[in-house]
Amino acid sequence: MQLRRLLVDVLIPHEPDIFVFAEGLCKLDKVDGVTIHVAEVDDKTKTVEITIEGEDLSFDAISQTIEDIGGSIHSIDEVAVGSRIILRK
Amino acid sequence: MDGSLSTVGIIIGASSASIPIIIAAGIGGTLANGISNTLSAFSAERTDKYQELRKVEDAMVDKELKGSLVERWMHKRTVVAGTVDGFATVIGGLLPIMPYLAGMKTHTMFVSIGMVIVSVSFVGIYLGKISRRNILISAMKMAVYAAIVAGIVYLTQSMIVSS
Repeated sequence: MQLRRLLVDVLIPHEPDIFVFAEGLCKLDKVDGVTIHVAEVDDKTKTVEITIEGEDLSFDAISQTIEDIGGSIHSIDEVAVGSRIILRK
Repeated sequence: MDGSLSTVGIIIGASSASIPIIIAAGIGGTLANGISNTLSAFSAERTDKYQELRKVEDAMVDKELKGSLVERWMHKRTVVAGTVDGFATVIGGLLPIMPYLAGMKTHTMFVSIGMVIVSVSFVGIYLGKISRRNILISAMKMAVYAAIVAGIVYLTQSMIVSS
């Protein structure tokens, strides 16, 4: 089963900034692209939506990278598996 | 500023001694001040950063940041802040010793004091600029503070030597 797209809701501290998260995730194997959208900002943290696309993504590697940098996955909001991505209308 | 003012205090205090002793006292004091500032800055910054880390952990609810990039990032900043603090103290502290190292024979102490007052004025200009206040007044304030410090130390030295 090939995981092609993943959208996760993540809580991250203000430092390091989202560029560090994006770079860290982009360096992973089979990752073609990463988009991070800031959904909410609090005093010490922010909630971001991370979208990752690629071929045969490894959720374990992605979640470990997010944890290692200092983020906390709150929910998995979207997954796309198979030979192509079917976008929600 | 801290480095240069404390070293000028040492120089004024040792002014009745020979030039090599004044230089040795000045350099010794500068190094001690620089190392002490580095260690206390490390300690203070580390405590500050770890308190901040705990607050972030609390905000993230049950998330432990130990071993994460966030912790390594904060540790790096602590090291940089401490090193810069110590380095700046040493650089500032060497300034008033320069006239002695350059081999000046007369009025050396007053040249040292003058150099410190001028350098501290530049600190005042910078502080005035970043706080968007009158830079001339800010520079003059710092110059006056430096002159007061030098004046107090000079009076103390004169009283002790003459007694």
